[in-house]
Amino acid sequence: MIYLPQITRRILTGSITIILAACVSYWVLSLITPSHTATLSLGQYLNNLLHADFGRSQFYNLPNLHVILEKLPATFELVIITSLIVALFALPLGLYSAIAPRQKLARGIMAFSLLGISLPVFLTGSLMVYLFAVELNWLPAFGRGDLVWFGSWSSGLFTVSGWQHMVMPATALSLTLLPLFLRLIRAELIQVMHSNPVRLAQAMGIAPWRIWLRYGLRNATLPMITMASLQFGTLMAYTLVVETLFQWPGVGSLFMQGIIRGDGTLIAAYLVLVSIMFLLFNSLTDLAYGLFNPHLAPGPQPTQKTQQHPL
Amino acid sequence: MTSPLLQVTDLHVNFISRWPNEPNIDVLRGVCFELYRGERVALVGESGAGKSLLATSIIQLFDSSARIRQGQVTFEGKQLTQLKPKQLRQIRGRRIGMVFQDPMTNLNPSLTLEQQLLECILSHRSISRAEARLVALHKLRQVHIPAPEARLQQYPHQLSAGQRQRATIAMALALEPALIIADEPTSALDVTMQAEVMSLLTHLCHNNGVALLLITHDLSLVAHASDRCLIMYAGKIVEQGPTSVLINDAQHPYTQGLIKALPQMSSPGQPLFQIPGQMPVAQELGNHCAFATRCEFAHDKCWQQTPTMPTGNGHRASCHLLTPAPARAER
Amino acid sequence: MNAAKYHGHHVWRRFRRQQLWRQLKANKTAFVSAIVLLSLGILALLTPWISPFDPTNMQQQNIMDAELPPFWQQGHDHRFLLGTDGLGRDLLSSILYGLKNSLWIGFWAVLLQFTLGTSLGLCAGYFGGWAERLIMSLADFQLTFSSLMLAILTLAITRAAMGAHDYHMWSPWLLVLVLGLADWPQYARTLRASVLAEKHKDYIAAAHVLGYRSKHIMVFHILPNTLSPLLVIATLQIAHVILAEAALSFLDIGMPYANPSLGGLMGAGFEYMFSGIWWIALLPGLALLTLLLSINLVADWLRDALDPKNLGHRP
Repeated sequence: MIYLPQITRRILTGSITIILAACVSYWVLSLITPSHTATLSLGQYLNNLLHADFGRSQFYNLPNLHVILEKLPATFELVIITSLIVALFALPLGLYSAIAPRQKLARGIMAFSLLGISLPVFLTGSLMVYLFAVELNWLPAFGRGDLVWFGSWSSGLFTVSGWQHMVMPATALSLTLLPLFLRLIRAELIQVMHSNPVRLAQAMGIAPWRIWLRYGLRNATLPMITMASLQFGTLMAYTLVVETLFQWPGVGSLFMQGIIRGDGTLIAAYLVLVSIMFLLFNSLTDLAYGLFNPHLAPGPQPTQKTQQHPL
Repeated sequence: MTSPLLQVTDLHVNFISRWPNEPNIDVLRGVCFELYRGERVALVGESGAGKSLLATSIIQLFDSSARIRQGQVTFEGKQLTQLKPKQLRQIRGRRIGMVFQDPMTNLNPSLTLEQQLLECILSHRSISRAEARLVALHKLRQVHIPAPEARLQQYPHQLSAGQRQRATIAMALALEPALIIADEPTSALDVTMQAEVMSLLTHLCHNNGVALLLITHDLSLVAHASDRCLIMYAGKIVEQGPTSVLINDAQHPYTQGLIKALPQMSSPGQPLFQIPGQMPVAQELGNHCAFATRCEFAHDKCWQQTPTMPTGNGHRASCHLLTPAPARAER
Repeated sequence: MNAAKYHGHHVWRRFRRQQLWRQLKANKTAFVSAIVLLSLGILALLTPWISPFDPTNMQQQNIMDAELPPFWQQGHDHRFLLGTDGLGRDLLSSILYGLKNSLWIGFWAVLLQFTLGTSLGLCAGYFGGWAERLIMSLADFQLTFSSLMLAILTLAITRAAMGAHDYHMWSPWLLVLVLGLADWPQYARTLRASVLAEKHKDYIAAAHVLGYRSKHIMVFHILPNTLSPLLVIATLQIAHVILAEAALSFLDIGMPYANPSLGGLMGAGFEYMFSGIWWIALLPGLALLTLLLSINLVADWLRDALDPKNLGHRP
């Protein structure tokens, strides 16, 4: 159930955040390219934003919105594939290590997850590049490969070369999230299996696999959503690093190039768009939360204990 | 004499210690009792006596570290301790139902009543969903839950505590088991609800011929709710017999103390009676009577030898004070 | 003040009662990690004396010594055990200095976070009202954006505004400042939750009745009971900050090239991998991994050891 007061409050705080972000980006613009803000006041800047005018990139000599939107598909696809990989592996592996915690494989999975938390993404990336690109020459190290265009959306998912280029960045990125979700799922499942409703279900003679699915996974969904929303920012940061490392032409590497070139308007536009993205993602998780939790107001509550590390 | 529905013989249950050098101490130290078809038996004891452990041991619903070291549990002629997990699962719910203590936490908060009831029913009977739904409705009506069709669609948090406990009773009765084990079913309810739910449970069991093993720490509940009573202390049954006989003529000093401690038994203006001391923990027990530390009648023999429960069918207690006089055999 | 001495003694006694040392010895993984961590720390401290070269000293660098491999490969120079980088700097020395810098930044940034986070968390939890709302909204906001992202954005923009040269002059301090400010919310949240839980307990009411001042109660009564999870967070955060600094240096918005950092070495050495010169990028990575892994393992163990359920338990 979605409550109207919550929605209006969310829209209000969202708008305030975006306006704040816009002001900050204006201030950033004044720091990097003061010449620009000499002729552009804050009011005009905000007005432009309302009309979807994000300024013009000094380097590309094109509208910033255009430049950013062109690079967006790359980042988007990378993030989607990464999420799929994480979901594909974290669920079964987490489930297995919760059901049979003493098995060698389960222990290996936990040890691997401990290692994974300590592995920086750029180390994984560098190792993979060295091993698979330089030494073995199996996979390409840079770029997105051959792309297919659907209108203005460029996709690398429909070509073999596109997938080849996707493998290493997506794997490196997913290895940052996989250990966290694996541990979270395992911890939640173990906790649920000791809870009272499960005891009652067992007393009722319901089959174990049903209990694992019905009670276990179902009750683990909420913490997973909370975790996903918490990790989104970190994922964005790591995506930026991966894009730089693999020269993946996404918005992250666009931002870094803008920094090096001192392209003030691009940086300012990027800030505003990133804020909008964050807000959208937060609203999505709120919605998902409300769907899965029938008696809580939408949105993870501030006192959720899962906001600590799930280790 | 018909054979008992449930027979527990010399049951020893211990917990596996986390630390390798610590021995595993028995928490249940040789429990023996029988329960007959349609009977309502109360199991009374303080917290820590092992009542809940006994209940979960019967259907072997253990936490990870408890296990049956020795002894047998026979139900409807089958040795439950020898069964494979799959066979055990067929008995749980279908032949033995359980009602747990806390209605707030026992129902799955993210499933509706309908989902939980139907899942339970359909796990054991291959009937259609619609039929199962009718069964569920019928049971909800039996436990006097108003507007059951509407209630089915609701989540547990939308019901009051009393209604939740009734719903749990409905779930336990849904498959028409031969025995229901109720572990302190009313302790988490307020006083007004307690009497109602208790009487509902006992009447339903009586009317449907379902045996009831009622676990409680409250002796005053027992008088109206049970035919026979088992008194448990420190992992053993110390006295058992028909409830009326036991209450009027308790043999074991512990039972006598329990009865004296009931508020109804004291006169106004007098301080309430308390059994001095505390029940010993499992590690402190040895080859002596567990109650000796608190018993006003304790003598040398009590410290040298563990008393045994006399065999027989009637009212009996395990206390050294009672031997030379044998147990009365009456039913 | 006598009360302070009494409470300090009390906290220390309780700390010892947890028998941390025995628990550490019992858990082999944690013990080994602790030893490794301690060794790395000592190495870092002694770096100025034990390092064969000084990588910050341009005089010691000779471009003719560039790109030499480590000692187990052909073509190595016995002076440079782990080889040299693109400028002719000894890699072993660079790694040692990088370790030192990482730990230095980690320490100071976590100290800043901890102080800021606990003070704000205590105030929010104890005083409530608008202070709590303000502090918690700010914490929520920061947590949404994630500390690493905020750090990247802030530092990248600072670099763009200051220009590369000026930026690298200030970057170690900026790193400590930004990383310290970025992660205080975690402490504040946890502490606020604990304070709220403890505030209503009877021993605090007793303290009020006895006439203690609020600040005194906060620091000497509530804080000691809520310290354990904060210590665990602090330990984990050291690893987190070191990782963040390495990532930032990798992106060239962290430590300057002249003052080596493990991440910076990896960033600079990345292209050399394509010519087969793998050691510049991967050996510092190995050092970083060892450091992070040992910190995480010790933090993991610390969390279990400080669990109040383990108080007074025999090992």
